[in-house]
Amino acid sequence: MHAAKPHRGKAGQAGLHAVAPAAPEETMSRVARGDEHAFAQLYDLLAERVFGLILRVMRDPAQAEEVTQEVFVELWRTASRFRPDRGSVVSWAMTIAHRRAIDRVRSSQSSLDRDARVAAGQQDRPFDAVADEVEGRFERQQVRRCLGTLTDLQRESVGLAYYQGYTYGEVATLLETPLGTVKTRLRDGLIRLRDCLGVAK
Amino acid sequence: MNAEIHTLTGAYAINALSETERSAFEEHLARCAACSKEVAELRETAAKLGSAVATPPPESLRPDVLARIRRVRQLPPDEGPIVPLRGRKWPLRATSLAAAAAAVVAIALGIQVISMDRDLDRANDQLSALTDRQAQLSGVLAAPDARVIADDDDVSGSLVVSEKLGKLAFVPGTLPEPAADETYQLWLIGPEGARSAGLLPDPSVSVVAEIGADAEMFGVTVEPKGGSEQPTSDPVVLLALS
Repeated sequence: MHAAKPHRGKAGQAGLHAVAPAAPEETMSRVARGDEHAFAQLYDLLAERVFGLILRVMRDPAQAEEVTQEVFVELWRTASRFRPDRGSVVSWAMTIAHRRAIDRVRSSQSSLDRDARVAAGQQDRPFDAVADEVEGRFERQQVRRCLGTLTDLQRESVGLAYYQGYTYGEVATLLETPLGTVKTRLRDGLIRLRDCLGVAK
Repeated sequence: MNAEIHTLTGAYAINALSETERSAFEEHLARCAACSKEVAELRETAAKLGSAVATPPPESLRPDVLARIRRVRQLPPDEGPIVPLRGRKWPLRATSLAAAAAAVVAIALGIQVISMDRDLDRANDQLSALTDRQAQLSGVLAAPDARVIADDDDVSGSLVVSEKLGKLAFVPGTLPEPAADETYQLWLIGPEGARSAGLLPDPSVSVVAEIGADAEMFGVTVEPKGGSEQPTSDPVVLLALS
């Protein structure tokens, strides 16, 4: 579902990688050897997910764009450290993207804004702000369905921590729930999602 | 394994730990294969949550990124995986023996202190049981012929064996907490088959058992609470004694 993007023309013109999209792992190993065409393919595979996640956590489109760019530079720089036996390319990239976005929102001013939001008890639910339905419809529906199988506390904990970048301590404050409870709900919720989404090894 | 820290896999996988907890958990992660696997799976799961909010970035981002990486040097590959500290079997020298003994004592004491905090009434009983066990453990660890037997990956646990004392100490690695109606049971396996060497009351606390004359292997299985006459499941730990 991420294959047919209008801006894949460059690789096509070069006539090198125009046939069928390669498996992400294969693309990664070429990126690790410094192949810029392969990197362009990697960008096309990941850009919407990486940007979408960062935007979701950071809220501000200009900052999200800046951080997305940093993430792709990091993916390029550390490509040789990617270990296929430790997880998929998408998971690797999204972990880096999420970490970057979170580091940014937890620092300085944005952190103050967030503290104010925590104090004011403002929060939103995972999917209320998701407006566009461009691609990944199936994946999105599947995630939505699986989130529906969680308890309210599991879903809220996972949503606040993952989509809004709160620490589990902050989540506990927001939900007025003991720390240990949030910790286990986060894990239980993710495990239930894992099983529902069919992520297993 | 410390069951308390294990529940942090979820928060860790989605970057919901404070910096301090994060470092502490990463230290634990390096020694806990079960945790690493779970973290990897939960990260895959989280990646799907992230993919569900995919949004097209501005058109200008692609050429910007592609231009920028041309000026960035890539890191060289890692030089192979990290070599585990322990091999399959090796005799212990006095210094490393002292370190191993200290580590075992620290683990046992740490766990016990936590549970005593929770239940002060039982503190005295536990303390004397602990002192007893500590004495037995120290005895095995300090035996002149003590040697360590560990898994290749050293994950599920290791043994310290003293032929002279006819005893072994099992130091559990990362055994998950058994279900409420189950327990870990230790076995010594010889030519005659398996013989129970007792239960493992707490999967994070070391225990001492008698070896007996003909034992060739040591194993741990999950059994119904109270233990079984004979093993009824595949061993989670299986180590050759010689």
